[in-house]
Amino acid sequence: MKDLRKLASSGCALCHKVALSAIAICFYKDYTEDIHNLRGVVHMATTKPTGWVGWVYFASVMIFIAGSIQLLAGFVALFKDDFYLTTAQGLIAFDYSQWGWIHILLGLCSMAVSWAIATGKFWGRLVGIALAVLNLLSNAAFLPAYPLWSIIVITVDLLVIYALTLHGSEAKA
Amino acid sequence: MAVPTSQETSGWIGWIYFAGLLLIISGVFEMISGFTALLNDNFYAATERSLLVFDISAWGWVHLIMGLFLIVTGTSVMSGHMWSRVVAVILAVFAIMAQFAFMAAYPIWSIIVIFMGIMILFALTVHGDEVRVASR
Repeated sequence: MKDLRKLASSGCALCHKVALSAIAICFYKDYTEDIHNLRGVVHMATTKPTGWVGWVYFASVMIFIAGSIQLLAGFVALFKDDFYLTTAQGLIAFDYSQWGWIHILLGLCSMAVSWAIATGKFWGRLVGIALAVLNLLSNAAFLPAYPLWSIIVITVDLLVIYALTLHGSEAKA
Repeated sequence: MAVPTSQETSGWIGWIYFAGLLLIISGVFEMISGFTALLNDNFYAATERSLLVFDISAWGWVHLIMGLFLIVTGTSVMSGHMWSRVVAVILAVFAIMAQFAFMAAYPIWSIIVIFMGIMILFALTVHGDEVRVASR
């Protein structure tokens, strides 16, 4: 009886040991798989163009829209400045024809850089951010002429800056 | 592992229905403003002088045709064709620009269509890839 109990307990201990090591093996395996997955995720986040690369196309389309609106505003300032709500005295810095040229220049540059952004060029992202900031500032100064236009361009520029700074690095591949 | 399975995309596939529906809604909106410009043009706040490029009946036709295109593209976007996404992006850009030039006529309508256009572009460019994966 005593022997039997001893046998049982030792058997149990054996079982216990086997179970423990089995668990350990399982865990070890899971752990290595985790490492593997993690490596894959890190790899994916840094180099692989995932679904999120779409942010770059978004930024490119948005900067194209901002640029075309700037172009429109520039032409209106050059050829039809009585369309605007304020006279030249209501503007902060320049007169309408100067603002017109500034807007046309910024608009053309923005539309051109949208191509560089879409093709994933690094300089395209830098120039895109710089142009978006310039667009934003010029529209803030030009706001009295046509507030709604300027507010929308400012919103679009903020979206460009957001997309290029937070999600820009995913575009490289 | 890097390739998302269709199960993983199913949560986000709604974006394409979102984009398609928004395309249809903004198309209807465009057609309403087009019909208003053609049939009841003293409804608008603007006089002929304060509009850009075209006169009000020409803008009416532009909006009407744009609206039709938007509705057709919206229905085809929901069936997941690649070409319809490209066409939809181009159309949304044009719709935004047209509403921009037309803003003097009815600013609030234009702002609504412009923001719907930005939402469409967001859904189609940022979440567009997941649609292609899920639809194959």
